[in-house]
Amino acid sequence: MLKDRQKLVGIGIVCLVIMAAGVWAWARGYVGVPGANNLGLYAPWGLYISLFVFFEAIAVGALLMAVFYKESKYRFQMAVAGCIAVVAAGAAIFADLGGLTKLWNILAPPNFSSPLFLDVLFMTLILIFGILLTVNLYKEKESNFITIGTGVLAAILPIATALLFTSLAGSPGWSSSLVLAVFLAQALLAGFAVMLILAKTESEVIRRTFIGVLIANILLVIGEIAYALYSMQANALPALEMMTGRYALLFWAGLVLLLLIPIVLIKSRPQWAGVSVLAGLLLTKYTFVLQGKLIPYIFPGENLLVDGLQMGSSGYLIAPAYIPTWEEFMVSIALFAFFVLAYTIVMEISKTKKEEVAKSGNISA
Amino acid sequence: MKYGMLVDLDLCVGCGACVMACKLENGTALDIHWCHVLFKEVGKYPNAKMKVMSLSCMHCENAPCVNVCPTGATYYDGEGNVLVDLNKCIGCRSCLAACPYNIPDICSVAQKDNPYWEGHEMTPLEKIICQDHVVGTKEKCDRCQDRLAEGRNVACAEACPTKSRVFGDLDDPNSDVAKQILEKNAQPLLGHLKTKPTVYYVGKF
Repeated sequence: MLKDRQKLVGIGIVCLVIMAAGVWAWARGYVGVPGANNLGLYAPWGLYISLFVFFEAIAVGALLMAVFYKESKYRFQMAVAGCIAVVAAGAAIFADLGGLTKLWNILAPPNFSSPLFLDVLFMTLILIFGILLTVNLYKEKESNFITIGTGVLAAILPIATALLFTSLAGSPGWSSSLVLAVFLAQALLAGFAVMLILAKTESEVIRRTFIGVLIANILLVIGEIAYALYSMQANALPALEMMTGRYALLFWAGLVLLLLIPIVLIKSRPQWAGVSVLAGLLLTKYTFVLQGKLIPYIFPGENLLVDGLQMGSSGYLIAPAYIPTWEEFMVSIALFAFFVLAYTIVMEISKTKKEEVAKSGNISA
Repeated sequence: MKYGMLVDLDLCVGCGACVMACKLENGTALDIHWCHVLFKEVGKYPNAKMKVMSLSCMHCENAPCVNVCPTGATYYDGEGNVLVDLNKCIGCRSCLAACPYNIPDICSVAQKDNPYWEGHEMTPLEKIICQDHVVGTKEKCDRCQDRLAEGRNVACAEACPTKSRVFGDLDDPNSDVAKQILEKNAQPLLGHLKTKPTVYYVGKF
C-alpha cells in the first residue's frame, strides 16, 4: 500500500516537472522567440496538429469502447481515458494557436462555414457527453441518452476532423476521400489499443475484433497506396512523394508499427501490441499532417524554381523539411505527461472514493 | 465597385520591382512576402527558356481562406478585396492550409527581434509600418488600403516597369483593367477550383 502511494507520488512529480518544462517551452513560442516553432508558409501545421489528431483518435476509440463493449469491466477506465484524451487534443490545438488570448473570437460570432468551428463544436459536445458517461459508469448507472449520444458523437468527430483536412482546396495531399474512412478506422484501432494496454488480454473476442479492425485498416492503406501508384491525377503526387521521398522512413515505420507488428504481438504480448499501435498511429498522423502541403505548387507544374523549396523524388518542388524544434518536442511530451497524470489522479480519486463508500457501508451494516 | 487586377505574363520580366515595392509599402518582416515571383524552366537546350509568374493574393470572391477562418477574421470588404482583421485572427493557420495559391503567411517573429540583416536598425518609417504586423497573425496582401483611400494606385502595379500589372475597378467597363481583361481574354488562375479570383492572368506559365 505504502509502495503504491510512493509510486503514485513519483509519477505525479515526474509528470508535473515535465508539464512545467512544457509550459515554459510553449510560453517561449507564444511570446515569439525566434525558432520556437518551425512552421511557415509551406508547413502550416506540424507536430501539435499531429498530436491533436492522435489524441482525438484515442478519445474517439476509447469512448466507443466504453459505449459499445458493455460486458467489459474496464468501461469506466476507457471513458476516463477518452475524456482526458479529448482535453489533451484540445490542449494540442491551444498550443498551436498564435493568439490564445483571442480564442473567444471562435464563438463570438462563430463562422459556421469553417470546418475548424465544426470540430471545436463536436469536441466540446463529446467532452460534455463523455464526462456524463464517465459519471454514470462510476455510479454504475446507464442512461441511454448519454450512452447513445456519446457513441454518435464519437463516430461523427473523426469524420468532422477528416472533413477539416479534405475540404481544403489548397492542400492536394489531404484531398483523398478515403481520409474520412481512414480516420474512423484508425480511431477504432486506437480504442482497441487502449483497451489492450489497460486490460491486457481481456477476452478472445477483443483480440479477434482487434485483428478484424487491423485488417480493415490494412485494406484502407492498400487502397491509398494503390490510388497513389495508379492514379494519373496530380492530387496523388503528395502521397507518392511521402512513400518514396524524405519522409519515407517515417511513413513506412508508422505503417509497420501500426499494422504489422501488432499482428505478431497480439497473441503473446497484447499490451505491447497496443503500444505498437499507438506509436504507429502517432507516426502515421504526423506524416499525414505533413503530406497536405508537401508539394506546394503542384498545379503550376514541374521545373519550378522557388527559393527555399527543394526538388522531390516526384520531380516536383517539395516543402523544406519540417523538423520540430526542441520547444515543440517539450510541449508535446508535456501533453503525454498531462494525459498520464490526469488519468492517474482520476483513477486514484475514484478508487479512494469507492473504498470509502465500501467502508462506510460495512460500518453501517 | 469591385477592385481587380490583370497580370500580363507576356510582359512580366521577373525583375521583382513589385516584390520590393510591396515590401517598402507594407514593411513586411524578413522572409515574408505579400508579393512573390515564381520562376520556371521550360524547353531543352538550345531552346530552353525561363518563365516568370508574379503572384500575390487573388482576392477571391469565393475565397477558401474566408470560408475556413473560424473567427471570421478574414473577410470580404464588399469592394472585391479580402482583408484580415488582426484583432480577430487567432493564428490557427487554416487559411495557409486552405489557399491553393500558397499566398498567406504567418507573422511568427516581431520585426524588431528579427532584423532584415544583422546589425540593421529600423528606420523611423519602418518602425511605424511594422506596427501593422502582429505576431501570431495572418500576413497577406491588403491591396494597399491606405493608398486606395487616397485614390492612388497599388504599390506593385505602380512600380511595374513593363506595366504587366494593371489595377482598377472591374465593374467599370471603361477602366484599363476591365478593357484589357476583355481584349486579352485574361483568365484567373486555377479556375477549376471555383475560387473566383479577382486577379486575371494573360500568358502561359
